Amino acid sequence: MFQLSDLYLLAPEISLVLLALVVMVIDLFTKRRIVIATVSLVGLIVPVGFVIAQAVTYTGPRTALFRMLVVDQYSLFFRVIFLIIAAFMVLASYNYLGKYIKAEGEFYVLMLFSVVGMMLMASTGELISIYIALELTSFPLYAMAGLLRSSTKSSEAALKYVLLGAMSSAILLYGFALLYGLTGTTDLQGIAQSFKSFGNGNLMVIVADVLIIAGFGFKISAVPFHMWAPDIYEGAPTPATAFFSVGSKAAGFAALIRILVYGGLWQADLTPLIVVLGVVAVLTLILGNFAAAVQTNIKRMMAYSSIAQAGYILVGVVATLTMSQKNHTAASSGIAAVLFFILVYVVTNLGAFSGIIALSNLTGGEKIEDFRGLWHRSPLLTVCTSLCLLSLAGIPPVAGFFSKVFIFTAAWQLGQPWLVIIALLCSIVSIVYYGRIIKVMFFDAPRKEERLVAPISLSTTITLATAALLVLTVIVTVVLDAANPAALSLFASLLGK
Amino acid sequence: MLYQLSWTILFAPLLAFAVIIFGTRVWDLRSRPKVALPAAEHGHGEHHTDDHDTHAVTDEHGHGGHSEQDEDDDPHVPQLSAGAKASAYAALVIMALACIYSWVLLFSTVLHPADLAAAGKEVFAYNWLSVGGLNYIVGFHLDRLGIAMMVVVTTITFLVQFYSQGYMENSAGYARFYAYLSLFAFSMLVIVFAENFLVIFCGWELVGLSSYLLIGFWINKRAKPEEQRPSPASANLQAFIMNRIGDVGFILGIMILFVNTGSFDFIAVQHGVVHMDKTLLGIAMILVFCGAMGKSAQFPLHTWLPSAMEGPTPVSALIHAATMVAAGVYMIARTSPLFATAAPFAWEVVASIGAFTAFFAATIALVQSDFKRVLAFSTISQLGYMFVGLGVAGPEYGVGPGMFHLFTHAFFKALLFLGAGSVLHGLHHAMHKEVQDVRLMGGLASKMPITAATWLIAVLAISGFPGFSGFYSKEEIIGLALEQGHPVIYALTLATAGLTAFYMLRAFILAFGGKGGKFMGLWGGPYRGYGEVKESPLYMTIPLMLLVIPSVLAGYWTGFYQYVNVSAENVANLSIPALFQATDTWIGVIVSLVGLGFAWFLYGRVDLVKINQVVQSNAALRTIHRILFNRYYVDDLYNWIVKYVVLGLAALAQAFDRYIVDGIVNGVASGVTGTGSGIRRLETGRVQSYMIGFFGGVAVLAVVFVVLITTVWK
Repeated sequence: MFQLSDLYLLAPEISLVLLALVVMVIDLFTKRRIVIATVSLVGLIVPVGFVIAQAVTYTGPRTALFRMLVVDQYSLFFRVIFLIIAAFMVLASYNYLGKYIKAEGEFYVLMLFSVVGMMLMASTGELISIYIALELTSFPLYAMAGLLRSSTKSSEAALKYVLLGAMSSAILLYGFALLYGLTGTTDLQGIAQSFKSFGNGNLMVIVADVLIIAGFGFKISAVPFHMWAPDIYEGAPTPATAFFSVGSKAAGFAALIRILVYGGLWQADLTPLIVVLGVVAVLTLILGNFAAAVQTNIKRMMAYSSIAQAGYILVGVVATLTMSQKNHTAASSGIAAVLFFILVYVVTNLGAFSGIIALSNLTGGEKIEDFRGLWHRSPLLTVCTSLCLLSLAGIPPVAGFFSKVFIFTAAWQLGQPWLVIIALLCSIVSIVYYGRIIKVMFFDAPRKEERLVAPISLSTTITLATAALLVLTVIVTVVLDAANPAALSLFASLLGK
Repeated sequence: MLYQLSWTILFAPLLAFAVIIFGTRVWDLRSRPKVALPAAEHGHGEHHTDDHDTHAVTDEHGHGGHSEQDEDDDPHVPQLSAGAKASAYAALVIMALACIYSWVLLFSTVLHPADLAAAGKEVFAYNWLSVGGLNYIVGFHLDRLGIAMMVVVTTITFLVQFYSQGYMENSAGYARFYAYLSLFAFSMLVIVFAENFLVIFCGWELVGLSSYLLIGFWINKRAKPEEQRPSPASANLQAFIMNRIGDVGFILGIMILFVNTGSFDFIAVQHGVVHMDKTLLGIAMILVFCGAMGKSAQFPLHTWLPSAMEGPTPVSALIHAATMVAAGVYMIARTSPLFATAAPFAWEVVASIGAFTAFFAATIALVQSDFKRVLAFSTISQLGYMFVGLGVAGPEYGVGPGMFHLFTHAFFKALLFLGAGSVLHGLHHAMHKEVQDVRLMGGLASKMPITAATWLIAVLAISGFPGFSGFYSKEEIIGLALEQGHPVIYALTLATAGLTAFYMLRAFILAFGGKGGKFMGLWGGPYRGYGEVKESPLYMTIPLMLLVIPSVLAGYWTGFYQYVNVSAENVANLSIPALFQATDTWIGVIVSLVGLGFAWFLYGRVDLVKINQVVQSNAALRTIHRILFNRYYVDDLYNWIVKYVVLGLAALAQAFDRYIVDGIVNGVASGVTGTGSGIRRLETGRVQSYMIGFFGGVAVLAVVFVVLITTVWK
C-alpha cells in the first residue's frame, strides 16, 4: 500500500536525485567549477538532514512501497556512510577535475546518482529493487571510469568495467531469477519463508547462492571475481578510483549482508554456504595482501589493498553466518564489527586516496619511488597519508586497529578461529606494503628539494579525513553504540518485530 | 556546580595552546619579513621541524663578522610582532582565569569543607573503550589534594608566563615558547586531575614531552665543556631518557596492580589491593616509585635535572623546581593509600631514598660555581625531603608533611629561580654573553636591590629560618623522622638542613654580596664581571615580589595536613606552638643557623680567590672538592656505561639482527615477492581471460558447494 508517509522514508534518496538534477541544470548555464561544487556540497545538507531526522525519530524498522523499501537502523547507518562518501568526493575531486577532466558537472552528477543507488542498495529487501539499485550504482561508475577522455588507459578501463560489470550483473540476475522461480516471490522475507519448506541440499538453491555470491563478489572485488579491480583502478581517474574503492564496495556489502541474513538464515543448513564464503574470504585475504606487496604502481597497490580489506570484512560476515541460526544477539556482534570496519575503512581509504591523489598530482608520478622523501617536501600531506596508511595496516592506536580487533574478536567468539589466524597472518604481510610507502616517504632521500604546495581543497580533504579518523579513534565506543543496534535491527526487521 | 565545572581549568591551557599554535603563532610568522634580516639583528633557523621559522628568519651559520658567542645565542627579532604579543596575552589571560578559579576553589573548600566530599568528585569522564568487560575511561576528578596542587601549578605558571614577557624579550620563538608553556600546564593538570593510572600515565608522558621541548628550546646553543655544561639539545635527550628508565618501573607497577585488581581506577585499585599479597604490593609500589624517582630526580636518576638547567630560566623555575619535578611527590601522595596497605618496606624505601638523595645532593651543591646548578641540586635535595616526609609520616599525619613541603617549596624555589633568571638577564645585558658562573658575579645587591632582597627572603625560607614558610614544613619533616623512630634518616636530614643553609647563603653572597659589602659582606661589594648591570624590568620583578608573600606566609596554613588528607581517617594538623616547644625543632634551627653563620662568616669576609687557594693547597680538601665538584663522578659513570655497556650490547644486537633476523626476514620476503609476482602473472589485462576467470570461479565455487552438500553434509 502506498502512503504519503512512505515518501518521507524515501526522502533522503528523493532529495539526492533532485540535487543531482539541479547540479545538472546548473551545469548547463555555468561552467564555473566552484559554483557546481558548492551547490553539490551545500545541497547534501538536505539528505543528511532527512537521515538525521529519521535516525532521531527512529522507533523501529519500517517498510514502505510494497515492502520494497526497508528503513531500519542498519540502512540508516549505511546511508550515513554513503553521504559521508559523497561529501568527501566533492571536496577531494575538486582540483583533480579542474586539472584533468573538463567535465565537472558530469562528474558530480554521476557521482550523486551513483550514491542514490548505493543508498537504495542498503535499504531494500526485495530482489528487483536490489537489482535496479545495483544498476543505478554501476552505470554512473562505468561512465566515471572513462571520464579521462584523453587517456587511452581510462577508456580501456571504462570499457572493461562495462563488459565485466554487465557480465556480473547478468550472473547476479540469473541467481535472482532462480530464487524467484523456486519461491514465486521476490521479497526476501517471502523467500526466507519458502526456504523452510525445502529440504537440505536443494541443488537449485545452491546454484542460486553461488551465482549471487559471484555477482556481489564482483562488486566487493572478492577473489576470484576481483580481476577487474587493479586494471580499472589504475586506468580510471584517481577520484573515481577512490569512489569505486569505498562506495561500490560498501554498497555491495550492504546488500549482500542483507540477502545472506534474510534469505540465508532460513536454509536448513548453512554449513556449505559458510564454507564457500570462507574459501572466498581466505582467497581474497591471501591474494589481496600478497599481490599488494609486489606492486610498484601505487594505485594498483591500493587496488589490491582494497581487495584485502574486503577479505577482512568477509571474515566478519562468515563469522556472523556461523552463529546466525543459533543466537541472534551474538551473531549481530559480527555485523556490528563489520559495520564499524566499513565506516573506518571508508574514511581511511578516502583519506589515503586523497593523500595519494594529492601527492601523485604534485610529483607527477604514480610509482612508489616517486614518493621518495616527500616528508621533506610536504610534511602535512605526508603525515596525514601515513596516518591513514597506518590505520589501514591496523597499527594501534588509530581506528583501523580497533576495527580489526573487533572483527577478529567477533570472529573468534563466533567460532571461526582459523579464519582469524589466517587474517592475522595476512595483516602482518600488509604491514610490509603499507610500511614501505611510509618508509619511502619519510626516510628516503627526496629526488627534488623544492616544496610541494598542495591545493587548498585537497589538503582540506585529507586533513578532514585524517581528523575524522582521529575522531573515530576517540569515539570508538560511540560508534559501536550505533553499530550494535544497527546490526540487531537487521535481525529485528527480519523477524518482523 | 562550582566544583563540577572545574574541568575548565584543565582544558584552559590546552585551549591556549591551540589558539597560539593555530592562530597567533601563524599570524606572527606570516607578519615576519621573508628576506634575510640585516646582519646586526640576525637570527638562526630555529627548530628543524619548524619550517616556517626557517623561512622567516634566515639561517646564518658560518656568517663572517660575528663572534662565536653571538652565533651561540638565542635567535632574536628586532621587535615582537603583534602576533607574538597576542600569543603571550592569550596564554596569560587564560592562565589568569584558571588561576583565579583554582584559588576560588581553594578558599571555598577551606571555608566550607563539607561542600566537597573528602573522596572528591568526578568532574569529567569519557568512556573511551569498553572491550571484554573492561572500561578504559578518560576520567578526571577533583579533590582537595588536587586543588592544593592545582593552585601551585596555575599560580606558578601564571607568574612564570608573566615574567617571561621580560625574560624572553625579542626572542624569535616567543609565540612558540608560550605555546609550550601552555602545553606544559595542560599536561601537568592532567596529572593533577587524573582519576586512574592510565590518565596519570598519559599526563606523565605529556609533561615529559613538554619538558623535552622546553629544555631544548634554545636549539642552537652548543655545549660548553669548560663549564661542564651540555648543549640544550643533548640535555633534553638526557632528561627524556632518564625519565623513560623510571617509567619502565612505573608501567610495570601499574601492570602488577592491574593484573591483581582488574582496574586502573585509583579508588577501585585501593579496594582491590586489600586482598593482595603485601609483599607483592610492596614491590609494585616500589616500581611505581621508580617512576616518581625519574620525574623527581632522585638518586640514581637525578643527573638529568642539573643538565636540564640549559633550558630558559623561567622554564627551570616552572618545570624543574616547582611543578613537574614535584609531580613524583604528588603521584606518591595520590597513591599513598596503596603504600599504606603494602608491606612497610615500601614506605621505608621511599624515605630512605629521599633522605639519601637530600644529603647527597646537598653535598654536591656546596661547591658548585654555576648559579643555576646550585639551585638544581638544592631542588633535588628538597625533593628528597618531601619523599622523607611522605615515607615517615605514618597514618597519624598521612601525606600532609610531604605535600606541605611541596607546597611551600614550590613558591620559594620558584622565587629563587626567577631571581636567578633576573640576575642572568641583567648580566647578559651587561656583558653581552650568557653568564652563569658565580665567579663573574658579586656585589649585585646594590645594583639589583629588588632581586637581591626577594632572593634573600627565599634563602631564609629554604634554610628553615624560624618564621619563614620553609621552617614549618621542613622542621616538621625532620622532627617526624626522629619521632617515628628513624634515627639515620633524622641524622641525614638534619645534616642536610645545615648544608642547605650554608650553600644557599654562599650562593647569595657570591652573587649579591662579597668582602667589603654592607652588613659584613652580605649586601653589595665588588663586582667581578664587567659592564653596567641594571635592575630587571618590572615584568620580571613583579612576580618576584608577589612570590615573597607565599614564601613567607604559606607556612602558617596550619590546617593543611587535614586538608590534603586522602585517606578516610582524621590526621593530626600542624601545631605551631607544639613545633616551637619541641627540642628537636631548636636543634634543627641551631644547625641551620650554624650553616648560615658559617657561610656569612666565610664568604662575607674572605675573598673567593683566597678561599679557592686554601682549598687547593690542602690535599684532603682538594680531593673532596674535586669529587664534589664532579658530582661524585656519577655522570661520568653513566657516560662510561652508555659508551661501553649499552653501545656494546647494541653492537651485538645489531650483528644478531643483521645476520640472523635479516636472514629470516629476507627469506620470507623473497617468498612473499615470489608468490606475489606469480599472482601478478595471472593478471594479463585481457577482458576475455578475466571473464574466463570469473566463470571459472563460479564453476569452482559451485563444485565445492555441491561436493560439500553431497559428501560432507550427507
